[in-house]
Amino acid sequence: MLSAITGLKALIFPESKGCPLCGRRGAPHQICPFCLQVWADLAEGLVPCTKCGRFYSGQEGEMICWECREDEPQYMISRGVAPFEGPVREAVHYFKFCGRRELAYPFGELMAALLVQLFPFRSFSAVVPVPLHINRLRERGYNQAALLAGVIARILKIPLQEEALLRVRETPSQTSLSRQEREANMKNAFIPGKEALLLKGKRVLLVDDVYTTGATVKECCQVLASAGVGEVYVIALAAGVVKDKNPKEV
Amino acid sequence: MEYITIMLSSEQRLLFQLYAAQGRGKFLFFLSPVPLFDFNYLAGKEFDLFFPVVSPLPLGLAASIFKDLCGTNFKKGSPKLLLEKIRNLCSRELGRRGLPAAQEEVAVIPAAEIVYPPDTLPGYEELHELESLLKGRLLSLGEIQSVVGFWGKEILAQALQLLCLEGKTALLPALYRKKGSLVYCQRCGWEGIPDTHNCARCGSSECCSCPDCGLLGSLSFCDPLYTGVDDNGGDEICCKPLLMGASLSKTAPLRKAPAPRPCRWTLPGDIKFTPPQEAAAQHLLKFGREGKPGGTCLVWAACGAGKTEVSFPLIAEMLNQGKKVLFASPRRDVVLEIAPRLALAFGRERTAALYGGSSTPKKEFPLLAATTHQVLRFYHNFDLVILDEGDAYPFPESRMLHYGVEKARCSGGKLVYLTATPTSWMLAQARKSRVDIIKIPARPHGFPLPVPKFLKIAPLQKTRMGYELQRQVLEIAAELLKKAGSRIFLFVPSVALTSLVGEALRSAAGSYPLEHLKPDSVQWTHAGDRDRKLKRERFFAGEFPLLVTTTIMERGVTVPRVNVLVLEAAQEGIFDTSTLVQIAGRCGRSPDYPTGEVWFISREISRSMREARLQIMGMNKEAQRKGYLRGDWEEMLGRIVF
Repeated sequence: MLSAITGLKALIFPESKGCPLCGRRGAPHQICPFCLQVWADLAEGLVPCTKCGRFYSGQEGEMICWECREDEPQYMISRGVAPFEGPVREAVHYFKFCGRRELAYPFGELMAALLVQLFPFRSFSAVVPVPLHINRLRERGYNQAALLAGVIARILKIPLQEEALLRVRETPSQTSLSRQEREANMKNAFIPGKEALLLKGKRVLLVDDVYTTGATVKECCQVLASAGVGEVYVIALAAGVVKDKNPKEV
Repeated sequence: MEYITIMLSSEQRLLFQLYAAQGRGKFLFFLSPVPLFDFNYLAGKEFDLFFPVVSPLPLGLAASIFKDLCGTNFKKGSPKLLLEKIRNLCSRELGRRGLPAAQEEVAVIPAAEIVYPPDTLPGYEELHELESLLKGRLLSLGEIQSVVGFWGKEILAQALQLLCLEGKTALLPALYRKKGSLVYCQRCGWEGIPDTHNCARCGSSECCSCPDCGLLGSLSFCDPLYTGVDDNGGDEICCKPLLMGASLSKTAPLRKAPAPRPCRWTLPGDIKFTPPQEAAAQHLLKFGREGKPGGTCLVWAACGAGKTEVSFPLIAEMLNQGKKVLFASPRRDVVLEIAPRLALAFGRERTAALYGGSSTPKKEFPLLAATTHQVLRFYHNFDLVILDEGDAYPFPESRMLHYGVEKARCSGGKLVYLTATPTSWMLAQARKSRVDIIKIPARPHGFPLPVPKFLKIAPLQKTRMGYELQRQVLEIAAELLKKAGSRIFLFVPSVALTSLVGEALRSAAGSYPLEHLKPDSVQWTHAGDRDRKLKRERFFAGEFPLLVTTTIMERGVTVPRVNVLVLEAAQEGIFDTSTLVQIAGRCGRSPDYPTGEVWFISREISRSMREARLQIMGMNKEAQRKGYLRGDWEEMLGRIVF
């Protein structure tokens, strides 16, 4: 009886779905202006590298970081919506590890909005998510990058090619690894999938949740390039923050 | 062959196979994520034939069908008839849920055909450790994996299945459909209609997750939970093999639990109970001995009256009887503070602490201090639950945490609330149990609680230069700060006001009436302030006399010689009765400075302000009536030189 009443109640008065991050009342599945402001405040005083999109402190104007100058990445441009710090880090943690897959909608919307702002006249042939290894996928139940890519593909009306890249090697977590260790960790972790054949000479958007050192994305780009993909642009929900380094001005 | 397909599909996806096994004069019905392992194990127990009843299913569904079948009276009849009955019931259940019916002919696997790799299971000691880990807990596969660490996923699944087959562990679906599309989470008690999604784990396109307890690790419809508890206490789904005609125990029986050693408890240092504490402790002991099973008792103590220690005699008695005790609090800092005190009083070997960021103890401890979030990982385990500061955020509003505390109690387990500001539901529960509310109305030093004074003015004024505090407020602050070593906690209702009021005080410093105050003697803090802990320590050490703060300092803060001003105290959304009582309770805690002034300043007097004052005055009256105040307190207060 009680469950019938609860079911009826849930049907008539569905749970108020406000901001998925703070719960404030508002449009369902949309991040509220307060949280967006907090995210925007995080980027205050930080400048993204024009190539890799990582956020640098203490800089002004456009600049390319020394890492991109010394070892130019194979992608064209990479961008992150917000710096991977504080509340953004927390939100990504909820999204990845707490089963909050519904966050893919608002996050994907933010990423799509950034893409429209950055490349208003550029068209992409496909959206490709960074894949997860099958074991990790079974463990987590979903690939967060694929969920984001799905939302972006739907909003921007670009075909989603989920199997253009395959992860064939299970790599340990990268959280405690240095840049060099991450690069070694990612070596030969991906192979081109059958859908990569359709992307020869095309412009592709690669989607990941977080861009920290770029080791994963660089390895993916290399594999896509070897499969004949023309240009790769990268979009991530969050990009790493580099402090106390001295990037050279353009 | 059929069973090879089953094994492969189970390896790839997290699916559970409902199966029946038949031996000489015995029959077993159960479900397994590794059915071939089960068949191999049961073949060693003289089971000859195995029947996978339907295709492997997500656990939420498989377990619901299993429960429905267990509730059916099909214990009579020949194995063939039983099997037929099970298959029909499965088909009906699947049909009811809109799924394709079971296969017409059930595949039969004879024991001789089972090919299984050599036994890779861990040894008895490791299995025993796993069993101890699950005693009284409710853990997901991921949580068990993170504790046992080095075991492979498949080996862990097999080990858990073995414990299930031997009846030492029970298997619970994390989520299951209660009725229609109404889904129920067995970890946090959430009930509702969730969004469905594609799940890579079970391969279903209609999987769902619990939206409430994801913070403790996501749980889906296909996820299993494991517990080592026999008593499942209600109508929850708790799967154990349905066996007719035999016992399956293979490994040696559990080592007998050692008889409980007499537990000597001591209060830290030379502290002795004051008369009100002694009376409360005796009342609690009586509740422990004679109280109704499953009853609730409320200890309502004045702030700083020493309510925690009052529960120690009851804890000791419970431990002496070999029972298990949980000391829970919604606040991590309370757990961090109480755990060493419990360890000191009852011995380190008996006590463990569990909070966000702590490691999971591998064995079972009879006395556990834990945050109420961690309590969700326990299942019908504790004979006594003591909930400290149960009125603190987020417990009162959190259905999930209430459910967790209830679920952690074993059936007949008792619950004690320790609080200075009971909520209406605590009072209602205590009344329902028909147990007298135990009050500790006086502090150990025997002086009455400082009674708040009201000042009916708008404390903050907007001027051309910014904000200014009313002259009367500044005069009160100046008067309070005249006393040597005296400090002021100034509470404001919002984060934005901390800096505004702080700046206003700084600009007023140096001129009448705050001519003795230096601008840097005023600091402010709030929840987002990174230096909050440092400022609290500096304020405690007397490095500056005036701290403007939000309600983050309402509890767990003891600062000597402190007075309290609450600005805009009528904002009931922030300053409700319990918050105001707690704030007033910061005053006069130390025996050296047993009094202080509490001012509630606002343009109007709210109901909460009145109620808070009445509550404090009521406590003082009760203390006076029972003779708990020292006889000379008025005289002494006059004599104390500040």
